[in-house]
Amino acid sequence: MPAIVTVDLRLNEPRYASLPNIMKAKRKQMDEKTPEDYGVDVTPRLTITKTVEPSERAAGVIVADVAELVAKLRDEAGVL
Amino acid sequence: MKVLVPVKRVIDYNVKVRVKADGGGVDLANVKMSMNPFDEIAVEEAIRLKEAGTVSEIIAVSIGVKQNQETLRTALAMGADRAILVIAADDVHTDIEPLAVAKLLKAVADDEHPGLILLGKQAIDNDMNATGQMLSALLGWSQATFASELLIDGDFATVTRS
Repeated sequence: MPAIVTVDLRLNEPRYASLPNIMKAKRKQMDEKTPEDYGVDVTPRLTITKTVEPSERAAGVIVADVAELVAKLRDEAGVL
Repeated sequence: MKVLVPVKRVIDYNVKVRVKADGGGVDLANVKMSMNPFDEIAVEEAIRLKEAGTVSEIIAVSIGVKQNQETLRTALAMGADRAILVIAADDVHTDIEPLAVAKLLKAVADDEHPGLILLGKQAIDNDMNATGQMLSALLGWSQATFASELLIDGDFATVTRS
């Protein structure tokens, strides 16, 4: 210590805030700063060229027997 | 011991993500936003450490737009003691890069001198998984990533990953 710890999903189950605590939170201190206050440049260094949705999954086919499955794997999928 | 918990405002995990028509990123207009779920776990862990008497003060920090106030209020309502908001962008679609976030968090840590910084392992919007590691490098502090159990004994932390 001092140390940095990044947490994973299984560490705990976050609580829900109770209504009284939500009301109390409104009076708690919140300081507003800007990157300039800390002398940090936040200009992006990365460029996002494009964003696309994942393609739709194509429908599968039902094979009649193992022989047909093997044939398809060998001839169409080329995995055998 | 003070603990610093950085939290990010992200698209809610229940929302179906839509890409903007021009392909210029994810549409965030009129979309429900929430605290990054991994950050929620970090806030919860900080509160448990405070309840156990290990931690004296929990400071939540968020870097982003003015609306991040809501995210910080959530952290305060859960049990954080005070909050710092760094307004680094005007447009909700602007994602501040991990290096910039890490530099700002380093500056906050230099001001506040926390004994521990608890972060979510990654944000669910860009899934970069970088800020904690970069912050550790900038501060020159030890790091433990992907904690599934955290035990603090005096000056030592024992972290389990699984």
